[in-house]
Amino acid sequence: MAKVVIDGVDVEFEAGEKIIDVASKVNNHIPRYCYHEGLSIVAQCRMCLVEVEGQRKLVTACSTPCTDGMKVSTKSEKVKKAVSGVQEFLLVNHPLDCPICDQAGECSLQEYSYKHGQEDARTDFFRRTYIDVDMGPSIKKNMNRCIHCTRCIRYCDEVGQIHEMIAQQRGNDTEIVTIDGNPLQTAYAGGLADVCPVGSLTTKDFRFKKRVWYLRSKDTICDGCSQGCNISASFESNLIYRLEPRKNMDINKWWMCDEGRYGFHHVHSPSRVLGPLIKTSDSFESRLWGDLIPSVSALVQQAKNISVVVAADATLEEVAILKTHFSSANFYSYSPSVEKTSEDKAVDHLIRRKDKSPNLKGLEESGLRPFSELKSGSDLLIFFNAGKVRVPYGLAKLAKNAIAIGVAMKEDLNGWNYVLPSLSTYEKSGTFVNHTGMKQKFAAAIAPVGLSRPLNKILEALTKSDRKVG
Amino acid sequence: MLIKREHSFWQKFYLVEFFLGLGITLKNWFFGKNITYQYPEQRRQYSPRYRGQHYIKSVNGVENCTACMLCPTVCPADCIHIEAGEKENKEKYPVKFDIDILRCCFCGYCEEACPKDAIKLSNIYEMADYERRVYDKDFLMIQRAKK
Ligand code: SF4
Ligand code: SF4
Ligand code: SF4
Ligand code: SF4
Ligand code: FES
Repeated sequence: MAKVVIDGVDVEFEAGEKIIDVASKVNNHIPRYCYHEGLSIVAQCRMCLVEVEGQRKLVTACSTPCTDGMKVSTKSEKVKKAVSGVQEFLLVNHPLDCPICDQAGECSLQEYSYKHGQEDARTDFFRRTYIDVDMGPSIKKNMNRCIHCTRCIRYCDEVGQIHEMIAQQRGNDTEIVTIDGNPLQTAYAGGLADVCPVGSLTTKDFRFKKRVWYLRSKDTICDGCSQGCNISASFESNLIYRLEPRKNMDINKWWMCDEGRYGFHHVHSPSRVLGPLIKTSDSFESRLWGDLIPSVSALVQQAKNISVVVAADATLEEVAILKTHFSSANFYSYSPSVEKTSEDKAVDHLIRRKDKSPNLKGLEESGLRPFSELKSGSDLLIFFNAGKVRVPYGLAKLAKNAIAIGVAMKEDLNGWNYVLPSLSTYEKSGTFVNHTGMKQKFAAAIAPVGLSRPLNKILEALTKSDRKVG
Repeated sequence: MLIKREHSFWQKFYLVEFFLGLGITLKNWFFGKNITYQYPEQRRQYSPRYRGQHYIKSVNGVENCTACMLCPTVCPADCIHIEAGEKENKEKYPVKFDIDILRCCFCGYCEEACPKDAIKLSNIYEMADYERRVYDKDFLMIQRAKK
């Protein structure tokens, strides 16, 4: 196999691979602004300059393909001088408002300034300023911080596939804008905050909520649709602050849609039911688990025929638990947007799907019948969900008694005899099957919120004598 | 280790040494400088760098703080709690700024970390109170010194 020598280290490469990627294989991170794996190459920031033996000028590592026997130096004096020069130019107009910038802590400009930049500024003239035009509900722009890498423009063209961002004016006055100042149309606008290497484009949702260095993150799966995008959830003190996509070339590549990105707010919504509820004559009363379990248990035992409706955001493990516990019951799957997986289809060119639930495929494979076959009149109806699929209005009326287990909102409560709070996707581990049949395991990101308990603990308590929910 | 000291001739007559010592005490008693401060009428002058009660420096009534969260990050006692927000004429400002003063160890790291010259420790050291105080933003906005 062909080899290239990078800083004295032999690295194998495949034809066409660029120096920047080959260097990453041996943990040699070449600084970059305009280059992004998922976007086309423009080689315009010049941050990735490297020296290639036999070439008079420095070359850009992001656009130069490797050739056999090529000798690359990424740390020579010539390279260091060039890179620190590029960095200095980028900071000539930069406001350096890191104290108020949401990107601070994960900003390429900060990182490379520290590694390759100079200690002090040699310029003392006024820095250019812009008046920012609103870009719609997802993204907040601060043009003063922009370094003109054009990743955002390419992102809109290539990922969102709507040509809506452009660079207008030129040179020092370049301004990145949406065409005619219109709000962004793309359903993937949140990704602009991910691709922008500086704090020029940040999400409004996360704005000023938390400094990023406080956050820890755990890998999980988006439960927003049947695609099952790989994401990571950032949290602090058991509160989720944001979701970000994780690279998986088979499913979502580097991206995720806005609906999924901002679709975690039900977890910490003030209207989420966080303690067990029992229906009284006119409203609901909260009880402790131990006080409620005997009456729930009695209700389940008296019921002759039970229907269990499982929302398609339940995991395979939970379906199995329900099936063992209510072995004689009829099981139905429920997804709000489609009846069967055969109705599911792609909504756009990229990743969004029509089925807005993550595991309908898994439920079908477990042998659950479609929701339309559910008949009214059973003794007891049990509904189980994880909050992404909401408790359907009026479902409780289809049976004499009804119990909702899962994540319910206070406004969805009508008709249920009991509401037993269980976990949302981010609080539990499990397996989802996405629309292609790919099984994906995920782990819990945060601990259960409030008095919510895992499904298996709740069902175990129903049969135990000590009434304790573990 | 035990060190044995040889006593001199006069030291062995203990009473002589005793009266010499008493003499020093009595000299200080009658002629020495009085080092007690008659607090609160008299107050001690501390160094201008003394680290006492906090305040947030403001210019024209607007706090210097931009809620960058560097002070809560550096604070070893974890006693600063800030909520950031946005208002019309200031992009980012602290909506809430609480210092749980009983946890504070007056290390002054917050003052040192602040990029905006906002949080300051004044010369005020009288912070005794009848209740457990948490300094809120209104309280911290009182300008306690001209630092
Ligand atoms: S973009 Fe980066 S360097 Fe610029 S203000 Fe924001 S954090 Fe600081
Ligand atoms: S807004 Fe961000 S992504 Fe777009 S050109 Fe400027 S720095 Fe690059
Ligand atoms: S003086 Fe030290 S302990 Fe007190 S608030 Fe500042 S950083 Fe925290
Ligand atoms: S370090 Fe200064 S500017 Fe930052 S939050 Fe603390 S007081 Fe405010
Ligand atoms: S990353 Fe190579 S020129 Fe920008």
